[in-house]
Amino acid sequence: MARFRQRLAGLIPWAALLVAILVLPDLTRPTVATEVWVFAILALAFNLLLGYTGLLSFGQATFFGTGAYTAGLLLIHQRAHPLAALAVAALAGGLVAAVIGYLCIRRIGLYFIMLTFAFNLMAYFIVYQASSITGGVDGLPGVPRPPVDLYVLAWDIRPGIAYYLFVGLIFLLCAMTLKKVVDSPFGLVLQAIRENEARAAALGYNTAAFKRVAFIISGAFSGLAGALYGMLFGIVPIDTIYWVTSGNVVFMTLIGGTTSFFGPIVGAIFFIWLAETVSVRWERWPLIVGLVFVFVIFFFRGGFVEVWHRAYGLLVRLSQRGQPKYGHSKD
Amino acid sequence: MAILRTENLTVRFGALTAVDRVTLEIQAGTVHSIIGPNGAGKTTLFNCITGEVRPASGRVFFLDRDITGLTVYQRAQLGIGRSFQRTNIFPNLTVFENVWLAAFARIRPSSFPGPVPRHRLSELKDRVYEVLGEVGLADRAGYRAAELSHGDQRLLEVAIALGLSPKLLMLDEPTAGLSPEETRLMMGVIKQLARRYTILLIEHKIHLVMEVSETISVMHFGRLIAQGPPEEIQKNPAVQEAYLGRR
Repeated sequence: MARFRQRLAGLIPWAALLVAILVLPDLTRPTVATEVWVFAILALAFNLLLGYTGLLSFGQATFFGTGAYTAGLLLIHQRAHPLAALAVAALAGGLVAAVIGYLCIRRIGLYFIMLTFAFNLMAYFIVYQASSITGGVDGLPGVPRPPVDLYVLAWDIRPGIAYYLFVGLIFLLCAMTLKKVVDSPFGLVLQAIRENEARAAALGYNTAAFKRVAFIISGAFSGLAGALYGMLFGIVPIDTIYWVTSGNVVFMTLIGGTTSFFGPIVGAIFFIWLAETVSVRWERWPLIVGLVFVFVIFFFRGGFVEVWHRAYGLLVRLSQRGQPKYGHSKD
Repeated sequence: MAILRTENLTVRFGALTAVDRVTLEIQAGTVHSIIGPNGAGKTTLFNCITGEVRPASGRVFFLDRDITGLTVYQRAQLGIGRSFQRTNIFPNLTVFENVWLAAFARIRPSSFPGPVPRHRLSELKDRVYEVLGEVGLADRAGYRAAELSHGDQRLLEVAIALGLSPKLLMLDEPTAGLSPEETRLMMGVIKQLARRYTILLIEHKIHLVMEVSETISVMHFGRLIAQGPPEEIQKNPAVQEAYLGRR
């Protein structure tokens, strides 16, 4: 019975996500709503590194951009099947992450962060220079959104709302896969590395190899998100591989909370909502992001998710007021 | 049979020679203790055997294999399990998970993220509870490791090493910082383990050392100054001098 209830409690966030996916298009434009789930995938992929493995990658845009350009080029020149384009984009993201991860993971701490950042800048300049292929600073225009042909039926994802549902579906699949990864023995070893890498090595784990695999998985999902982004706007802007995008992912993940699996999703929703609604009215909107960020770092190190936990704890305490207390309650 | 052998092992930190030409043999199935005043180089010797510290010269052999060039994780995979003098656990994971990670490392330390067969998982779970039972932490399996008292964290430290089912169990001052009550508990645990594991033990509680060890090695200023069964060590004048100073 306890086990059943535990299972049920585990389903609540998923139910909430499903509701959010269905409700969001009523609250905002389909493009903005779609962007939310694209960045939610990216934030989850990033948090596999930061929240679970303890690696702050400041170059997530490298893989996001790699996926976006790969899928864009395939769709433009090869008229590729959208699912094939997504798969190849994920593969490309994972491949680039394998190479960059291999080089960065030899260093730790600040040096690791700076290396991921440096590779991001390099990737940006390669795309910038290769303008005959990538369109350079103007971006890669004309990315089509062909129907998702599943033999028995072809799903036309050109209408905004159809594409929104397509992205929502892929987001759910990605989130479920990543949840499986973090809950697996492999995921627990990653957390052990985050907690105490030296001890994990003393147990017999090749910690560098585990970090490399985490990097590849994160890169693959980031690449997938990038592909969805390019298809959303019909163009791959060079911003997809610019370091500011890497910074934004760090922002949304920290604001949402790195200590829970679902935190980064909340952060992505908040960040995109702020960027797309406030920015229209007030061009200095990043100031708000900055203020929220400072506030979160000072008072809620666990991000929005911690706000929720604290509010819940407060409710419980208030409801128990006046009742006799035995022993100490835990905060 | 010697399970572990060191040959002229020397470790230098700058001008300091922390371990000085130590040649040592640990016989399988015995409890071998290393004693000596603070700063004698005992923990450095440990770190050199497990690979955390590289020797300036000398070799380490485990089961007749030269492991001097191997990394920490490779030596652990061969069957060297250790506990640390300063508690070294996974603070934000549960007690169960702490030991589980050790037990899992024994069956599959590879970084391949594939699924683990169901029967394997249930075997692991049994093993974890068996180990937690041995150190008396089974009822705290669901606690976050950071929430445990210092004494319980020391027991968890030993439990993690046991979870590895090591061929050689290295315990670095398991009673460090324990209250008299907790010390008695820990001593009971170690006496239980002494029958079933090959143990290399660093310990300052001399009565425990005298009681459980087959062999005692004494270190002083990085050098081995005496070795032998407990009765012999007790009478050894060089040892008395190292501990009490020259009269």
